[in-house]
Amino acid sequence: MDLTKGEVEVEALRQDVLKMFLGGTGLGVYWLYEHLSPGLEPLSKDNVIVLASGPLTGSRVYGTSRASLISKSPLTSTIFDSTCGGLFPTYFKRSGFDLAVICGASQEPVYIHIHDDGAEMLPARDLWGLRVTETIQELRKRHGYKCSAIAIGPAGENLVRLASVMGDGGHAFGRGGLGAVLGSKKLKAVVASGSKSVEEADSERLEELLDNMRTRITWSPYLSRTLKDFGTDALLTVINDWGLLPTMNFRTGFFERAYRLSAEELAKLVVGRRGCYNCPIACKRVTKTDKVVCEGPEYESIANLGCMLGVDDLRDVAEMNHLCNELGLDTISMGVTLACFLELVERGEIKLDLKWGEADKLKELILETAYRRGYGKELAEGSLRLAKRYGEENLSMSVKGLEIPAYDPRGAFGMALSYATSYRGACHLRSWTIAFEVIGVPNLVDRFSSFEKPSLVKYTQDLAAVYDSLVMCKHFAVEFDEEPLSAMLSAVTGVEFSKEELLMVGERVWALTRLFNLREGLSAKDDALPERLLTPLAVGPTAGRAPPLGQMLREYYAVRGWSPDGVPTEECLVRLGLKGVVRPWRGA
Amino acid sequence: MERGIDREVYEVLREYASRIARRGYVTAHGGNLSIRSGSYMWITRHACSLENLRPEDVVKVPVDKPSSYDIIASTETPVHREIYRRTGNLVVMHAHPPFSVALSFFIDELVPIDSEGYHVLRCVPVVEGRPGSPTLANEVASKLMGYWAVIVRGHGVFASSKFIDHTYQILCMVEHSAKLLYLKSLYEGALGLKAKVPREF
Repeated sequence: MDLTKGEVEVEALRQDVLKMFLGGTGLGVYWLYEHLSPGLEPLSKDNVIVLASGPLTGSRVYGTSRASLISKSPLTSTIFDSTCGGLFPTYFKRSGFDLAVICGASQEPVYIHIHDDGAEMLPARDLWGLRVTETIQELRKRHGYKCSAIAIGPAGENLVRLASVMGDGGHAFGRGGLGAVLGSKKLKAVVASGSKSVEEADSERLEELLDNMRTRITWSPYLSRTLKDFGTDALLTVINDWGLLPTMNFRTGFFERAYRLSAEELAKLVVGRRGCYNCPIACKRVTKTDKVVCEGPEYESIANLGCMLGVDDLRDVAEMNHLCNELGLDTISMGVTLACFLELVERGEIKLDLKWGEADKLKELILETAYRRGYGKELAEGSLRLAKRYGEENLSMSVKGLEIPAYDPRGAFGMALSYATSYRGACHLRSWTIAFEVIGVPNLVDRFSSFEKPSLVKYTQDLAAVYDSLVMCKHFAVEFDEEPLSAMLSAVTGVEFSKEELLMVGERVWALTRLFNLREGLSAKDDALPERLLTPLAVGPTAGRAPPLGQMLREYYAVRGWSPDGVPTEECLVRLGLKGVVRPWRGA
Repeated sequence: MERGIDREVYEVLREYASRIARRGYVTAHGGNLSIRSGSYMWITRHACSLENLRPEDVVKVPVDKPSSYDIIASTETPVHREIYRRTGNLVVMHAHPPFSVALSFFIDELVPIDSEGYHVLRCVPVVEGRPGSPTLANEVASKLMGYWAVIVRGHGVFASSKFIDHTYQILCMVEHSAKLLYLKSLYEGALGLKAKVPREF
């Protein structure tokens, strides 16, 4: 879809490319690597945003109402993918399209409607300026209730680098400022109303596999009890006790008043539970305060808008979360950027009457960020640009410009490597070693050991890329590895995949994203953590511990088959079948 | 481990966890045990190794309702909970002793043939259910209202009492009785010996 020309073209995908990259993130990464010119400005009309479903999206396999959004990030300038659940991915898949490549930029605000017969661009002048829920409700009025939409809020319109793309029900393509990419294209929303059925090559085989999946879900305490009973906030108290809960810009990993933010406290505000389409777990919570009824907040939002800012009242956190969702802001980056801002205030770099925990003032700053007013102009740039502006780069708790999620790597060394090597910057969803290091699913490993962590991170990264290419919710990854996934993929598509072939898709994604970022000028020196997180704390549950990042990185590159300076070798590219299939990254 | 754990609770759990492991009643990361303390219980965490229990392998959860700490607590936490809710017991041990588990495939109750086992245990019922499920919790807890121990078919043994050493004793006796039954059948089958029932039992 060319927004500049207002034209839509439809083309078939190459089977060999599908086999190599599956769909979702994999396909989007391939498309961007092949078609995007190196060095382009992410908020220019030349940037491209790819909306991709996967081979399992909308199928009967649980946890697959999910899609990926892939672009070059205005926050990190790296390749960036983000996935989102809800209803939208299924309606998109049912339109019969696997991939929507959106390029150019419109002069006037528009939205895209994708349906069974194709796609069209429609005027959105009257929607511009609306918050997320208002926008989606208005689109539903226009297109009926058998549709779903994703939309940006004022933050995306104002090119805030922390802007998310929101779906219905609080679901989000949260990170990396992809909302600003839509905003730069004057694209307010995408509506999907597909009604075709999703084909299954072998329904009988799939039914057998689903039987097994149902049993395993029921048997999994994490999926069928914890997530169901408490949602993702179940993590908070344990993470805090173990000294992993980032507090006040990662100055400690322990928040004294974390019990006030626990899942048990959240339950007092909960008025309902929700889930994505065709999900038996329904991990999302609907909460109510005196002021709002809202989705969530999830663990990450509670940690980053709560402990990170010294806020200990869940009602405040829920309201801040709601504000972010409605304005279209990433709660993780917003929280960490505000924490950086608070530390700058505390150091006297910024003259403002503001202290940790002052929720009302923080809410005002969130509003200012979305509209780029007052200090919001600086906050809208993210923590790294903010900190650099004041000559305090070390106060930005970010990797490659992406703010670090709510697991202090001093308490789980796998997360240190995971954050440092993620192609999109600090991310917990590209390798959630917390499952192994804290929860103990599927196995428990020593969180303070660096032994085997490079292999663990590589494996979980590859598996995560498979999940994002299928596209499937990663909560299921605690129970379903490449073996059941390959069987279900084969049953749905009719193309046989071994578990080894499937993991190789993940490895391919990691190699190609690496090549993309190298082409953009990144290097091994960007696989780094802020100095603060490599410095042991004096007190607390992780006192005296710091991850040996350099040592783990060296082993990680070797495990991946990359050179000691983090470049995929010729041999690696040949092994992955990328040599001669994708453009060389040098001189492209 | 939740902050503020009584060091003594950990030391006691570590000691008995280690004994259970040394006896070969659990595999590398199997088994679990708990101690009740008022409306809470201290229970070993999911996937920990009883051979080498660390302080952070012990978690405190409420007895009367699920908790967010269940995310790391043993898979069998609901079974422990139900036992405490329905009995006055203060300790629960769960292990996978091989003779008891093997025997459970063939019987519905274990009646010890040795005098000590018989006098203490009388009978050990065999129940069924998947680990950590409400069905298993109900089956095990209801049986433990009248017995010291139960065997879950193809899985393991739950033993429970008011005292930790007593509970450990019960667990050992169940396995010892199962082993004796096996040995007796071996003598009868392999050596063709005829069993003599003790005149006084």
